[in-house]
Amino acid sequence: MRYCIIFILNLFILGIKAQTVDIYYSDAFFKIGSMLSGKDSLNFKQAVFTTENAYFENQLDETVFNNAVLFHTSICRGIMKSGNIVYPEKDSIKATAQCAVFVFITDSIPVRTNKGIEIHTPFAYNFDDFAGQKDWSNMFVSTLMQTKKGNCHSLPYLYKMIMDELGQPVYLSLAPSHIYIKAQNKRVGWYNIELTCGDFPTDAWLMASGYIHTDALRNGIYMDTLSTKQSVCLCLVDLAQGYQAKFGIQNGSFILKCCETALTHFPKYINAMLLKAETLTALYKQSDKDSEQGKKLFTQMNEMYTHIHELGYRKMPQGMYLNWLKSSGTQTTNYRMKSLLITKANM
Amino acid sequence: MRKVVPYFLLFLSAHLVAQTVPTVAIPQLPTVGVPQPNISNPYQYPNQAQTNLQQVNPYNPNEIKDVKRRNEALINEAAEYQRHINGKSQLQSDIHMLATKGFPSQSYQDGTASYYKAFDEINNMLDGKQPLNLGRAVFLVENAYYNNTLNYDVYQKNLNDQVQICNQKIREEKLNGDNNLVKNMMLFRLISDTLKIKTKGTERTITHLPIKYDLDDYKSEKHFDSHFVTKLMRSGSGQCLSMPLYYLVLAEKIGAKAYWAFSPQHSFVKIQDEKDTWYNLELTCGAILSDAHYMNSSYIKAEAIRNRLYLEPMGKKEIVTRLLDELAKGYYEKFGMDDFFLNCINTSSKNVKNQLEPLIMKAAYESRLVLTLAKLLEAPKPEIMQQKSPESYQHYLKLQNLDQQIDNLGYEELPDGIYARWLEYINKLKAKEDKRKNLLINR
Repeated sequence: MRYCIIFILNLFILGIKAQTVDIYYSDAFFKIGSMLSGKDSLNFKQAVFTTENAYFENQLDETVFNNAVLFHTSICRGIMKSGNIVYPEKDSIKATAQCAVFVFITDSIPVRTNKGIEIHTPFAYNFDDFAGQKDWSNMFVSTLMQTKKGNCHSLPYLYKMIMDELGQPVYLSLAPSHIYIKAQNKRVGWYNIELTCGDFPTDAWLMASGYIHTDALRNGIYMDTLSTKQSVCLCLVDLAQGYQAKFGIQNGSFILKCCETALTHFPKYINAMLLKAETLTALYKQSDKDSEQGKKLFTQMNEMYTHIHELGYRKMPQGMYLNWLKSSGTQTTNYRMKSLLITKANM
Repeated sequence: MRKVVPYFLLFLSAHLVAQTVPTVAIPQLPTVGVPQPNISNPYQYPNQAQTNLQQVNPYNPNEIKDVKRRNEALINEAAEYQRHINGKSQLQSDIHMLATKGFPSQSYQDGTASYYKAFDEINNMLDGKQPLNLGRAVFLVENAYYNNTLNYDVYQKNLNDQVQICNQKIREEKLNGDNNLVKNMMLFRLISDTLKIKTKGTERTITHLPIKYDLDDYKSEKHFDSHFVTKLMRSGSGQCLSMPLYYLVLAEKIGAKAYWAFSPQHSFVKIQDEKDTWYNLELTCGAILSDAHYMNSSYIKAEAIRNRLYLEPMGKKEIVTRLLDELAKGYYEKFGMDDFFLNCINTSSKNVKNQLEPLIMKAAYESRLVLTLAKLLEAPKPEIMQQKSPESYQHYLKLQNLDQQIDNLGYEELPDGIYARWLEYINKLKAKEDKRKNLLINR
């Protein structure tokens, strides 16, 4: 009898555990969803925190996370005030902020503390696991702030958060399997910031090396500036990918729900389309192909891929992509852009 | 901290400084007539006749001279005042006319009639009253510049001869003459390569030489007509406007589908293969280039592509519409800006998706008008203009609005020298390619 009770209790606890983990994700989905639907105000930092917290099963402390961002922001303010950045145009606060945060992320900064002057070292590129394949949390801003190692996902996110704190506009922008920063000031007009290697690549270079079809540019699926709402949509797909990394596709409903919500608010979000198409493909492969359900999935899948193709998305041939990956590290200056795998299943 | 400054320099130097001034050269201020009033002797003062002057004060030997001098000064002052009043009212009405009606029409001048005629015919094509004919439209634009002295039949015959050469070569090589790609590639060869054609019956071969790039005047600066298709046909050399247009006119004749596209200060031909893949035919150097190449070499930003300013294929109707801008440019070259100039641009603006060129030309018109008004009003600053003439200030606001629209399209001007460097680069590319070809032959 006693064993029986323990057995039942065990089952119960295990059941709760499985359920609660799911609850973290549906909670996070609800929070981000209400930002997008307008019930809550849009807050990129909070959306990112929510996404990462769900993966860590609510173990992240929001105050610590926020304080870390504020601490970084205060260093950036110090750089802005130092007078070392010379910019003669009218929009000097904006431009100085753009420069200060860039320098903060990519260079060593001497900081005056109680113990004298200490050097704040730059954030580094995580060569070991740049695509979050070993551990999905390597994509996270919280990981970046703890380990000082990041990738083309966490570094631009952090840049954007600090700029938001400083109250200066800056935009995330998408390239295939890549995110970078787009900024604008009077002196240079629009330009791109690449934090993974501390460079300013031109649009043409991104287009040629990133295998972006001209139609993709025309349709604005890549290399366009993202609004705050669209940036929050990125978090929703991140959430789905975190879920996938943790639990696999399951019945696909959570991932598809995330993708569809993201697409309602950001209809041209290519990564949401790609994830949706991949999930549909996986579900189709699992299903009985002759059943009604299977046929329905097949049509949906085909429609999705056709739409993606029409928008100008082209999958980079694998050999080319591998070459591109290899080229990072071997080539100098312009060609140093660190790559760039966000959707690991995709390639 | 010391690293901050070098980084910032890198930050700045990595990018081109955006300029917002439109490309069309801001023309010289026009000589708007401010008629000088006739001031030879505007006033007669009594007692002023010199003969009547009499010595009154016997102790002043210079009395008469002094009176004379005083009188002269008075006359001058009065005349100056009168001139001022007359000039001012004339000036006011000039300013009013300019601000409300724009620059006065030049239609009284000899030669404008041929422009009006060309406009009407092209406009009929756009309205569908007349069939679209690119070859005809190109001819109309250029013939108007030469004041109707070109012969359309000769022009047609020349084009037909070229088409015949292409068709003959297609037959000779036993290619499919109905295939779009075959026709396009043959045209490409005709313009960029030497073609040898055997004539029927005899053993003679005709050699057709490629169209050369006009290195002397590729910007059409020495002679306005250097970018004309008829000039290309006369001299066998063209540039980045005439070569693509010539290609497109021939494509129309031979029945091949081809499109026109722009990059900053440049244009080229786009064609599609059977799988609907696009190719860029760069006729100035006889090469086929990728989109990325154009983006890289002429600093095209993503915004400009998204707003479809560049690399966007234009069909026949859009090309014909775009020729109205060319018509306006020719008219400006000969007669300056007026209502006809504006009418051409407004009509083209109505009919094309890509608003860049119309906007730039409208801004050129407005900026010239604003500068003229500023000079007449003696208003070195916009605020002074607003105070002196609110109706003129409206034009200033309009100009600002146009500049803003141009900016919003993602337009940034190509820095000087980049274009020439680019051509040099393409030529080098080509030279390399030729070498490679030779290597293959030698083997």
